[in-house]
Amino acid sequence: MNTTIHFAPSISKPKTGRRLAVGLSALLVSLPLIGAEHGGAAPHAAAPRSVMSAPRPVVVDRSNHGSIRHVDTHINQRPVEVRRVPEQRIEPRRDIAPRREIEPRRDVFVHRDVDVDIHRRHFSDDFAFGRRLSVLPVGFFALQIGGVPYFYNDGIYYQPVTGGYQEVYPPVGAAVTQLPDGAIAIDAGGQTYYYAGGAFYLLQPDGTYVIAPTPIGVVVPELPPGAVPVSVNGTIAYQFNGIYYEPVFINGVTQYETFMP
Amino acid sequence: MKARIRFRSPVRTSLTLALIACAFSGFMALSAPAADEKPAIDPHADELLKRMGDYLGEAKFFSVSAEVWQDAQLSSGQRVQAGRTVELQVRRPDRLRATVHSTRRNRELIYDGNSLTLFNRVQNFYGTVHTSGPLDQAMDVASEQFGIDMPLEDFIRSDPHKDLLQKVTSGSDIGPVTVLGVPCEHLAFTQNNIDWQVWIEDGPTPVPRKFVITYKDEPNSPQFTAIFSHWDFITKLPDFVFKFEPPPGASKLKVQEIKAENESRKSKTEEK
Repeated sequence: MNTTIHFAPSISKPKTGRRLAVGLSALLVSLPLIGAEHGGAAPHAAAPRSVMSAPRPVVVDRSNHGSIRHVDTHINQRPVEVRRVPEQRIEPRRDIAPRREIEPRRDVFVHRDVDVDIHRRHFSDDFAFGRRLSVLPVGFFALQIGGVPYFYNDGIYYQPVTGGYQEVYPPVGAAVTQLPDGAIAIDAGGQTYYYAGGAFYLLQPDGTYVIAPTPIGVVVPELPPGAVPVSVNGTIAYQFNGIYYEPVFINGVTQYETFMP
Repeated sequence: MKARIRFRSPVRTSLTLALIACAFSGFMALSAPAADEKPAIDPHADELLKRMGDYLGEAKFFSVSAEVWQDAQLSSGQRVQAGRTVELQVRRPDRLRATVHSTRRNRELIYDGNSLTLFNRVQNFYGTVHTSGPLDQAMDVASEQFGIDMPLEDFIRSDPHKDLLQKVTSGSDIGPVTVLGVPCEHLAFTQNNIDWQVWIEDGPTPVPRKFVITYKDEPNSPQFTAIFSHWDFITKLPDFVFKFEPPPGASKLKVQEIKAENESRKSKTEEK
């Protein structure tokens, strides 16, 4: 046992100390080099790393632009103006879906690029209920809904009256093969509506777009053309074709939610 | 016998443990994810950004205007730019008036230390939510609870340098350039889904003169551009600047919370 006590300190310690010093030095030297191979570049290194490894999302929309701090927040589907397809013949439809009540502010996406102000005048913006015309605009189509004759041109519907035609609210059930200019896609209640001229169109399996009853609880970025301001329980609202639109601040800007008093 | 004796040596045992510890820590360092990585930022760019951040963060009050241009796409596919003007009046620690106006729109956000008011001047609508605390806190409430993000808020916060660099992966100093005749230093930064650039004025007033964000994750990588002017650190901003009085005939609207909507969407995403 005495041999044991004297053996280790007198022979092993210096050698092991040297080995330890060499080993630790090698480890300390090699770590950054190995780390660099794994992308662990030292701070302030000149070579930037690749930052675009993740696949690009298809479409994103932020509630606003111009903030770095909130660049990752509020990324939603972008309801966009729909691109038009060539005109085709219009077929009237009778299979009208019943009105849908959508739980407000659930699964509802609205256009949130709130501050973009581009003047985009659309034909249907000029709609005025009851306005009379002696001649229909060039490019109109004739259609019948439930046996009632209508005429249509780019988001505005007309009915014949004595001495001419008058502009009427978009009739539920009307089918068009091309969305009106400026239609905005709005996802609500699990389906996509196309909102234009105060009407909510739904895409059908045969490729046509049919006016559905206005969903209640959906939020739209703009009022229907010609909506009339009214007072409901002392607060301001707008009325269009029997549906009420309540202005609310959403994402810091005024938008409109459909409701029935 | 010797082997047994060596094995029992306390010195050898401690050395062995030390080597194992070193090897283990080395392994852990190698297997650690990129979270531990530090961004590759040019020290000079970092220093200039810090200088700007400190200057803005330490200012008791200031006013500034910014002309903002943002890429947009028409339904035809044509790309255009939409313009607007942002005017900011800031008095630390808890006052802000921000106006965003363009040809057809004019909205304001006013924070007086106790409430946050949104004002749609064109339609004469306003809405108020109660919140208090310093500006950073109020802006967080506005964003997280009500979905209100003010453009250029990165420059209003108390520590712009820290906030701006939060998610940056690399940054560099592009070099000197003039913005509307003002000598500036051009800095460029990268993070996961955006690139951003800032042009900082040379000299004793290191304020941003231009700011560009490129949204790399959006189709066609649209850009947001702001050109700053009329920096004013001298004109005092009294209380009335931040006090909102509804104009005659103004209608009060609800300010919709978005928190529940975001949580609902988040849980749906997680389920998928």
